[in-house]
Amino acid sequence: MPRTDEIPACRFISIPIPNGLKACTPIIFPKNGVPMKPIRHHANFFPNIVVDRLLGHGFDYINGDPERICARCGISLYDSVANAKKAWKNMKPKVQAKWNFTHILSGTIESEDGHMSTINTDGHFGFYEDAYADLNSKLITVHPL
Amino acid sequence: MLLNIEKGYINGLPFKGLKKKSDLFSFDYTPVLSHYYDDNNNDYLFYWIDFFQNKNRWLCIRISKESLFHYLNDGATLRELVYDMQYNPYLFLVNQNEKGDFIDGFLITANEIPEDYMPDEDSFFGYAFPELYQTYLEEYSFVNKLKEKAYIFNLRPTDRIHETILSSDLAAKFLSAITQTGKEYVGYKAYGWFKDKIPSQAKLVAFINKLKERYTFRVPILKVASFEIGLAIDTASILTEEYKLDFDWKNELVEGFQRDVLAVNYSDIEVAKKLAEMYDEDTRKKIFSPFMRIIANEKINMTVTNYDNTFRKDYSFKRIKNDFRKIVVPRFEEEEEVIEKKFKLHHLVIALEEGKDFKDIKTIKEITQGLLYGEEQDDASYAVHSPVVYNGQAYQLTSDIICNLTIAQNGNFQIYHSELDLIAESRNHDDVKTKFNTVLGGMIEEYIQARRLNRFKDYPKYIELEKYLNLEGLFE
Repeated sequence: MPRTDEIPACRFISIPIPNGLKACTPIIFPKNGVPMKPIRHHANFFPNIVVDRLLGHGFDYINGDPERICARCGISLYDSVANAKKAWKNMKPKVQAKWNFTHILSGTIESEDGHMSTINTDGHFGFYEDAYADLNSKLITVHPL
Repeated sequence: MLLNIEKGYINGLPFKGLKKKSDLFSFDYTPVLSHYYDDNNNDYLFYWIDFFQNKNRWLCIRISKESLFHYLNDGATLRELVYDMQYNPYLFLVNQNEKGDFIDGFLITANEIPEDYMPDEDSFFGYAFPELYQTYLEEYSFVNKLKEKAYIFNLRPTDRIHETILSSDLAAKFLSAITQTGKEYVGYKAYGWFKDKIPSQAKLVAFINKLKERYTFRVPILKVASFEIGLAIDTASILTEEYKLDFDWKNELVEGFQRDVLAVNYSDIEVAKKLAEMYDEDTRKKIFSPFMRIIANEKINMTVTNYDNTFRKDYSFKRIKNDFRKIVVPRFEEEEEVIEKKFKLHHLVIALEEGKDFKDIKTIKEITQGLLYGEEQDDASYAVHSPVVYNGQAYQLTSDIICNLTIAQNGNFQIYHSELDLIAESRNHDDVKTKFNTVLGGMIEEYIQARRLNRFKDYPKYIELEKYLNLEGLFE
């Protein structure tokens, strides 16, 4: 997991997390699993930069657009379960299959957890976690997607 | 694999200088719906519908700026934009390579798009109108569109004690009268346009009432510190299927109202005679009487213009002459009395001792003591009880026929039943019941006749009636 200061473009991200910020993220719930912490899957809680590395996707982190690179370093979160569900429902099932998310996890995050990008009109924001943040213990309520 | 499309393959795409305006929504920083425009200032929405490995496929919809505006305002769904055949005789399924270039695709009609690729029925945009588009689509904003179609009324008091400032009661009278004239004009025109589309009289009445409410004047212009108000019929919102006709009837309404009501020379006797020929007395009374009262009011000077000032009329120079009034609305003065006596429906819930009937109540006090709840309402249930007596015959019912009782805009009582396609209207509430009984009795007789000829199955209203009729002994 890279630290945010490893990537120059991450200087764009400087918004501290307000205490008690509601946050949720779509996840893949292991089919054979029972609720457990952390819910381990390569697509859960990882920013695109890590998923790209794990799955060998060829995104150009050297020459690409700095803002886009920066965005890919954040974990995608939404400010409400409704917004996360809507974002998911906006896609046709064939496209949803790219992620295969099955559930949403929600909870609250605190200022010591890291930094964030501006919340978009669709409720989406990037979360840039601090080295000692433990998202697994913060996002704990499971909602079906 | 990407879904197989059998026909319409095109190598290369016909867009020149395609540039992205914005991603309208994304998932996990991946664009899902993007807006592009080309060198000719055409607008396109690209909706991500499929992927395989590093290739993506998009549904490309060419849209008008107006449709884009409606979509971003939740006035239309993405699916409806796909079916906007007026603008999209063809759509594209566009393939995108791993570098992000659009390389080839398929030319396809809306009906040929696989359902897997179609946006959902409820595919509204669903987010706040993006700030980026405030300027880009400014001319299509709802309020601007309504302003362009507005009639601008300027009213001044004839006495100058309060300079040009109108009293609130005159302003209220004006608004009430012009609203009534506008609604009745919409109702009159819509009746002519939709009567063939909705053959059931009761359904037509219910539809026209709904339409009159929906297309009552909006107020896109209001000038402070004087009485200048712009009123417009909503021509901007998109029509749902039930309101569609094969011509642009909303703009016809706007032009028609100017031509048929506002521009009329209310002091010319020949014009009055023409109006009397064109409209029956009831229609003239409904449409013209309220408006003529405004013009006739000696306390107001009124002018009306349209938004681009191509139309202007000052009603203060030529007041309505009595001769004109008498021809157009013969009972002009009496009608005022009738308007004062207009009824409304009030719904009361009263607690009665068990065993007692509502008819046992003799005094107002008994009502107020038992009153639990009361509310004004537009529509009430009206039950027809057994038997229905008609032409000396008593027809037994298996259950009450629950109809609707309402008061029309003209103050008449109406009882109607949509499924039975029955309606009765009268100024008097007892009379309307008698009239409804007559049309119902007539229908029962028709039903018996049709059943004897074994033709009743052709008519859904007879099948509906059969649910209520006690058929025992009816055909002996």
